Amino acid sequence: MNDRANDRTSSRLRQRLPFTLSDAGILIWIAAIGLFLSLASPQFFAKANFVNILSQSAVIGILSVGMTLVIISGNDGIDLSVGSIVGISSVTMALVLFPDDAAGIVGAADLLLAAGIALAVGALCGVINGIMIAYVGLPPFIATLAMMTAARGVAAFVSSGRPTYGLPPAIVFLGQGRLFGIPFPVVIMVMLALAVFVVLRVTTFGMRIYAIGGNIRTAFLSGIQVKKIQLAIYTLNGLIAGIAAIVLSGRVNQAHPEAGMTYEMYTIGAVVIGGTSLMGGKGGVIGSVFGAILMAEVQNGINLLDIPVAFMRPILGILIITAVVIDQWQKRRNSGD
Amino acid sequence: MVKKGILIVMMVLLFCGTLAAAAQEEKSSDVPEVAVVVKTLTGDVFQLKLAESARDRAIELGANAVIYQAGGQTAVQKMVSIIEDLIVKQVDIILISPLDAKAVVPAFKQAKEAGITIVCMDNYAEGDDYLTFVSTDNYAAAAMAADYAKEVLNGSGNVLVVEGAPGSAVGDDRKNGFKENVVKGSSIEVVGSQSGYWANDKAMEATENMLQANPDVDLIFSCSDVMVGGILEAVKLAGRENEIKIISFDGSRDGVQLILDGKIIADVAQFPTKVGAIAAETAIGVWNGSLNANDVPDFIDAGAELVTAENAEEMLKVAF
Repeated sequence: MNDRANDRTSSRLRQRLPFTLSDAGILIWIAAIGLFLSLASPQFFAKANFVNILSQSAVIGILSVGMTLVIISGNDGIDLSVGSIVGISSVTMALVLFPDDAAGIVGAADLLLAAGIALAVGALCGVINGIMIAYVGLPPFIATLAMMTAARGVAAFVSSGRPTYGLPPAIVFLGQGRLFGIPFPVVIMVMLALAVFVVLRVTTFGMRIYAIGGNIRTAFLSGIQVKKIQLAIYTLNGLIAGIAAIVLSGRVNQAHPEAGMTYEMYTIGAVVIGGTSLMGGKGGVIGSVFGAILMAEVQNGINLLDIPVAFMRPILGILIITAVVIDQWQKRRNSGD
Repeated sequence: MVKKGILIVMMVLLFCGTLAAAAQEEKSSDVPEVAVVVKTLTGDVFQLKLAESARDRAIELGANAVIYQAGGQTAVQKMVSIIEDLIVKQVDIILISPLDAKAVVPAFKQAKEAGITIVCMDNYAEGDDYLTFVSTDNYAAAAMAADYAKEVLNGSGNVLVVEGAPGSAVGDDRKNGFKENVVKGSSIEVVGSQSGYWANDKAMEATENMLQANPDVDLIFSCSDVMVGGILEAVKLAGRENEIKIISFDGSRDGVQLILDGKIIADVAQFPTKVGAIAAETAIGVWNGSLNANDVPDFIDAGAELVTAENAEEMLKVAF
């Protein structure tokens, strides 16, 4: 009885705090690895290096915001197609910018049109995912696996397999520019994460996402239009992948049909490391962004220390397993076993 | 209605199949049937040039030649079934760029037993069921880049290497060819060597981090033109364009153009068209008896050339 009351207070408290306890856990991880790297490499603890790490985490961080919604909504929710959506949005944008295959001067109207179409293509892929999952009833794994293959194929087709180098300065600014010394991709990541954080915590839409992830039958019986919400989530995730595509293209200053290859894996990794449960109904975007930063920090450390890169992926694998084990351990403790 | 549609599609497919079979029967035995098998033609100009040059050279030499593509950088199983189909079709020669050194071995064995001559291009396979392997000698070619780096740096300085994907034999040969030779007889030090995973975004991250770790860098060697765009962005963002020279590998049109633009100082050019042509000539030579199979070496180097500002204009015309 007392326990339950405690639980209620702590969950009420948790709702008032800007982030949850597991987010604090991940901050400790980031600090601990940072401390180790500071001791191991004299170049680690420098403003320029922190800027590097944040820039390098931004694209995965942006993607992880959308992926968090998908995974919280549960019912095997996953989106394997985000990397391919980045690719297809990136090359479609280049196609609109340079229809004649020659990079030239681009007007402001063309620029807005190109960015808008990149977002629209991302959202369209998301709509198709959503329809296949919510209305046709395909498992998310299958529906988005098909989209992953199809979108990559279309990206190769529309670009004739060739990357476009040298994008307009405005797009490059979105990827490389700074605002008060902060890289613009990081600004976008933070703003997006805060916006979605508010949506999840304050709006009924956000609460319904948790409700569906917690128990889809109960959610349905309590009058939530489950299919519409699912469609909205996957559409939003596609749109966010479109944002990531613009940022990545600007950062690398090119549109590439293979842009975003394997990013879905890093994104899912960031979400899981960030404490969102793959079972759904639980988690948040702030943790996912920290997860992306942690992964960029590890990559940065490996590059700084010149460790053979073959170790990179195993280390990330260990991080993901550790995150899941901690998640399950906490769950067992909370349920009182 | 839907069933009817499926039926029509099946009948059309069947009809095409019959046509193809009829075409097969018409082949005469005094002209070799050559199959060129590559990974994919979309998104890979190198493979495209390789396949086209092999086919065109074979046709020039009087053969019938057709290109087959597995349809992806990792479509290993599709490639194996293409070989199996070619055995059934009784082609005489297979010129192939294997996707996987191991997976194709059983199919190669079957093909050899069926009397088919196989030549590997660009990527090799295990076993000894094929005639020869034609490719760029990646180690030697990267050593050319190393020699040029020593010349440019006057024998001393700090260099970084952006490697290919871990586990890639081609990438390892280039990396080792450069690293082992650049330090030979010089006081040059390789201060960082990290993977760019054959991708611009990953190459950019690795370069940013290595530049952070090394305040003093004179030259960067990129194991492929497909990564040099990301490296250039990283160097530019770090504001170190004037102090760092870049050498790349591949000799693609994009790479050679970067030399003309003054963004990189050199690029090691490979010749996919030579690889394809040599493969076709060798296989057809053995088929018609003008070459003795025992005289053909296990490996034929298609050569490489260092492109610098001096010959970039010339090389742009032949670059792939």
